[in-house]
Amino acid sequence: MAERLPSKKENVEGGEAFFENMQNGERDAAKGVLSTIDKIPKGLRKGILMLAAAGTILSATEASAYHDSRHRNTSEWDRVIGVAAQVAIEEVIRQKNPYENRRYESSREYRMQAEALRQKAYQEYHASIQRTESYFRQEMNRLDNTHLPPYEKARARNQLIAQRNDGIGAAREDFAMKMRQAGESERYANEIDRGNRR
Amino acid sequence: MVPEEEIKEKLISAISAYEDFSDAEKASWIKTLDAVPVDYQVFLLGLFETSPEDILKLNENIKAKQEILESGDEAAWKELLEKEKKELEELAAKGEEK
Repeated sequence: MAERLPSKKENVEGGEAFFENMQNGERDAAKGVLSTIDKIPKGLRKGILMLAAAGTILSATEASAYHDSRHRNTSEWDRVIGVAAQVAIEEVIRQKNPYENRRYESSREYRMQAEALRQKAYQEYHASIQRTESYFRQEMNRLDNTHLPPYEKARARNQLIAQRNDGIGAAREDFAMKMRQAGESERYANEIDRGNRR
Repeated sequence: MVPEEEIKEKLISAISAYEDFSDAEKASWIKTLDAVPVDYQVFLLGLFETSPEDILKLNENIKAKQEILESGDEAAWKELLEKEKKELEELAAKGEEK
């Protein structure tokens, strides 16, 4: 009977059969850990599996049930049981795997670029609208205080309104263009994360 | 005896014989075994047999988490996660040195 068991060395240091069997495990927490365990350097596997094992034992304790009854549906705490190691694992994977790390840094740069573009788009749009409105109000006041014939005044007023609308239209177009650029950057980052680009 | 039962029996023996556990700790570990997937049981059995000092660490980790869960102290939980992360990073660094 005993010969059907993996050897101790395999168990502790990461025999493939051990990890393969674990992938059929019943617990989501264990699955979460195991979905990434093969990417982790062997020296780390024991530490990670210890944390995961602690999670599986913990999930069977009264403390777990107590927590569950109090914190059900709180998103931050949903990660608690058995997945404690997962956060650390993801970070370690990024640090240990140069390709993952590069991909992460690279996609992060594009995401940051997208965020910067969006912020710039909002700022410039609001600044542009304020400038247009301010100019419009100032010119309308000046027009109101001039002594032009009613027809001339009405024509000048319509011209100002048209200018204002053009200004707002241009600001909107500029905003839309920058948001499209941000979207492109975001899509590029997603492609990198999916492994389609580097 | 099927392999799962054999593993569990061996694990119960290892827990019972573990001198650094109090009787309450032994009982608590044995009580939770049914909820621990068999592959983790194999892993734990390996620890008991090859590096029992890690069982102590594991037990401390579980107790710390139990206390935090009972207190509902979210900040303490985050702090613990950070500590675990650092420990893993140290392990990773050691692996590079070798």
